[in-house]
Amino acid sequence: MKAETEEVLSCLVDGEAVDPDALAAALAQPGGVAMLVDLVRVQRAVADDPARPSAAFYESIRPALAPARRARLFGIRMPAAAAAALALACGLGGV
Amino acid sequence: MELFERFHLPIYRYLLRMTGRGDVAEDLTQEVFLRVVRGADGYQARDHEAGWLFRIARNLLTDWQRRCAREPESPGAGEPAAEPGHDLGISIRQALARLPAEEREAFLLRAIGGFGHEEIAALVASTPAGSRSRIFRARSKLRAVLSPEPFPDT
Repeated sequence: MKAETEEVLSCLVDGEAVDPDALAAALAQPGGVAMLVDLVRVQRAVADDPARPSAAFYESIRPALAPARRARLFGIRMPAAAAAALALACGLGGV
Repeated sequence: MELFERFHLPIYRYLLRMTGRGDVAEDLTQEVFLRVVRGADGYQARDHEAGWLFRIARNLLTDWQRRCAREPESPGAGEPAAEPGHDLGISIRQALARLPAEEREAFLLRAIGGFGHEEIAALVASTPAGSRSRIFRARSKLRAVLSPEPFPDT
């Protein structure tokens, strides 16, 4: 299998512009189609990595990101939240 | 935090595959987003969020690698990442771990980060042609996992 064949197919898998004639020649090589399938399999195997952080990671980082959330929440919803709190306080105060 | 939801998995996976350590990848990923929170006000270039985040991740990775080179690791510190997934994926990711770091990184930035050669070149201080070449070599070696021949030592 020529190195140029693999290079053309690698570029194709990368989504790069490929010369159609070079691609046709690469696919016409013995094993050319199988190589293309292999390259796609490799790409997918890495791109579809199922690894995820642990639950402890999320527990640890979410509070650290909370200030940004609070800022957004206060900026948009504070009047409603404040009104609700005030209404609740008044209601409780009347009892 | 929207950036966290969108980018923490690709960044974690990039760091995991570069370090081979789940605990380290978690620590570094956390630090990436803590830095984002601390410096978020100064950030305006919304079109380049991914590049910005991966640059932070890469800087942290480089710092960690330097620390490792200076301080030999204590026995038992950290465990290699567990490998969920089907057999082929596991084999390919194990082969990925044996690639030279520069080839592995370029390939990961393409496959996980979705970056083009220009962006990869900017991130790793190379050229687009250099990025293309590294990815080509990486892909060629990883493909060997699918063939009956043994994976070449690098």
